[in-house]
Amino acid sequence: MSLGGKGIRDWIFQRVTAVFLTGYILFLIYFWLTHSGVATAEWQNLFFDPWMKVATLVAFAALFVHAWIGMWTIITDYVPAYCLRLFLLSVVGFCLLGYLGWGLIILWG
Amino acid sequence: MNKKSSLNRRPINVNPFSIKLPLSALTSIAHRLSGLFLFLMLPFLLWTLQILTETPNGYEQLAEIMSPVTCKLTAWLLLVAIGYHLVAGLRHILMDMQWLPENLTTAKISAWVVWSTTLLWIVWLGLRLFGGAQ
Repeated sequence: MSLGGKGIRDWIFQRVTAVFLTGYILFLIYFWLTHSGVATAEWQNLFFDPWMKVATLVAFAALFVHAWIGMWTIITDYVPAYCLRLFLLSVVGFCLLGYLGWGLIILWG
Repeated sequence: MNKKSSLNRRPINVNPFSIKLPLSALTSIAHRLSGLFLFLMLPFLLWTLQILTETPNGYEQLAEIMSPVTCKLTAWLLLVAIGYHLVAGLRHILMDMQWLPENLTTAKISAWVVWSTTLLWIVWLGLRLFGGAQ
């Protein structure tokens, strides 16, 4: 992704994922406000719900794409040295893949 | 000769604080910085989610590991970064879609709106987190 110079696709992905993440985050904030003062068992119950798990999985995928495009943009803007750039992009990519796996363990582990 | 001396007078170490950024430029760079910060905090966010979903008394566990004040301060910082990144990103999308007219005045006003919203968010969150209720 991004390595082939598909700028318009990245541009659209960045914004579509942003819209989904906005909705997801607003829901979490709404839940926090309406369940304030309640024991944190409420949070466990929330993430126990299968639909919440699906929504969270989509949010993880959206975040994966969104963070990759964002970090790609930042790194290509500020790191002109090819080797260092490749190294940093690899680190970001492997980290994001790892986080995705970790997220799956949290949801269904 | 003259050319050489002018070359020698070029600023070598530019103090970044001597550059006055317009508010819209500051909004843009802060959007990047908050995004970078949130990326770096992803493992922490996942770890928090793991503790909150693994046990029914997740908050107590977190408070034991970090102390309640550190917990709240971290939550404050993260929620401020998320809020800012979200509102500044929304401004970008509105400009991309041309729902906001593309001129300097609108850019300035919308940047002001972004920072004012963030300031309100910071204060309101602070009151909410530290003003008695959990």
